[in-house]
Amino acid sequence: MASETAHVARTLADHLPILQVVVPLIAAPLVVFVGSRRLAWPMAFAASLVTVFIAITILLQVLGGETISYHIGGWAPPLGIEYRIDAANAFVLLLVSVIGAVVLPFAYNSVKSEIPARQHTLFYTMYLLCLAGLLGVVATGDAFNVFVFLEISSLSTYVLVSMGSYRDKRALKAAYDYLIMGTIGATFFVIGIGFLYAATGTLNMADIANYISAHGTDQSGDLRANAVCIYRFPA
Amino acid sequence: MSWDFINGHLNYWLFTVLMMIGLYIVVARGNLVKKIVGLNMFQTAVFMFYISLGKVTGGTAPILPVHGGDHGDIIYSNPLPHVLILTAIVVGIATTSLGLALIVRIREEFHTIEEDELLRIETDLSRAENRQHGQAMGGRA
Repeated sequence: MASETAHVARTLADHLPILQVVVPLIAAPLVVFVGSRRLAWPMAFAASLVTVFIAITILLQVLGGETISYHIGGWAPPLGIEYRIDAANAFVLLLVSVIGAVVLPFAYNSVKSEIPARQHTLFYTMYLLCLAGLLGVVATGDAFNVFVFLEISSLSTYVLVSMGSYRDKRALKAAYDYLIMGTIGATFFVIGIGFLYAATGTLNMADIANYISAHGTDQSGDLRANAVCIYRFPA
Repeated sequence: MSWDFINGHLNYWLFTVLMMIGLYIVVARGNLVKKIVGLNMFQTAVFMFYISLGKVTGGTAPILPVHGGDHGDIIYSNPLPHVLILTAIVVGIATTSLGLALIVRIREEFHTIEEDELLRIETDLSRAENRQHGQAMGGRA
């Protein structure tokens, strides 16, 4: 917090970690606002090609072993949200975005035959939101952010499942069951993050790892103290 | 387990009880809307757990006083859990509205929102489907 660096001009290349998530996230409402049935698929495909391109660029940057740490809004990591990408993350990002781009050409025909025409734009919107959520889960270095992206991807998946109801109405019940199960799971995930936060006083994944490696896993005495006066400001 | 331990973790006990009530409703009720209500209780219990974590003994709301002067002696509650839960509440509302919208569609298609009746209809549908596939393959499947 006191270690502010001078403001430096940033290029687009510095913002790649956030663009990776933001591109499909922005493209999703755009597909709805443009509202054209013919343009929906090309827009979704263009967005997923851009994510593949960004993922390749990021992978080339970190292949040497360095780690990209992107501070959202310029807030320094332990307090601000950090996107942290090393070689393993970048590889999974590439995997997710390539699968997303490969799936779309095949989706074109099956969407045409299985979903009524007025909902085609909504299908591609949900597809893009799901992609954004999955990419965000991989890219972020903040434990609570993982939950948010998890919910973005799972909520859009519930909708995608229920869109099968035009061929088989049992898809609705399946989507409902999935929603109940998924929400219970995500809520337990939030409880886990809450306990981690109570034990360590931070949500940043690297910071949590540091704290636990420094203090061990035996928190029996410490847990209570932290739960009461939670903020462990890094000096 | 001493009395101090039990009393000192009061928020943990209360949140666990409330959470399990919610989870029980989700599992035990057959009505789809009541399941959503149970799910909401389940989530709200977790929200309350987070808020109780952020409470500092003697702390006030984490808002800077408007009038100037030295405020070094004011104790504030931790604002971070509140912010996190604001996000989680929004997510919970999105989940609830999606669940209710799905229930509306289920009622349109199945004309019921009771789970046992839905299960019967689904079983009949699967059975008819299996019979049809069996005949297509020539004989009983």
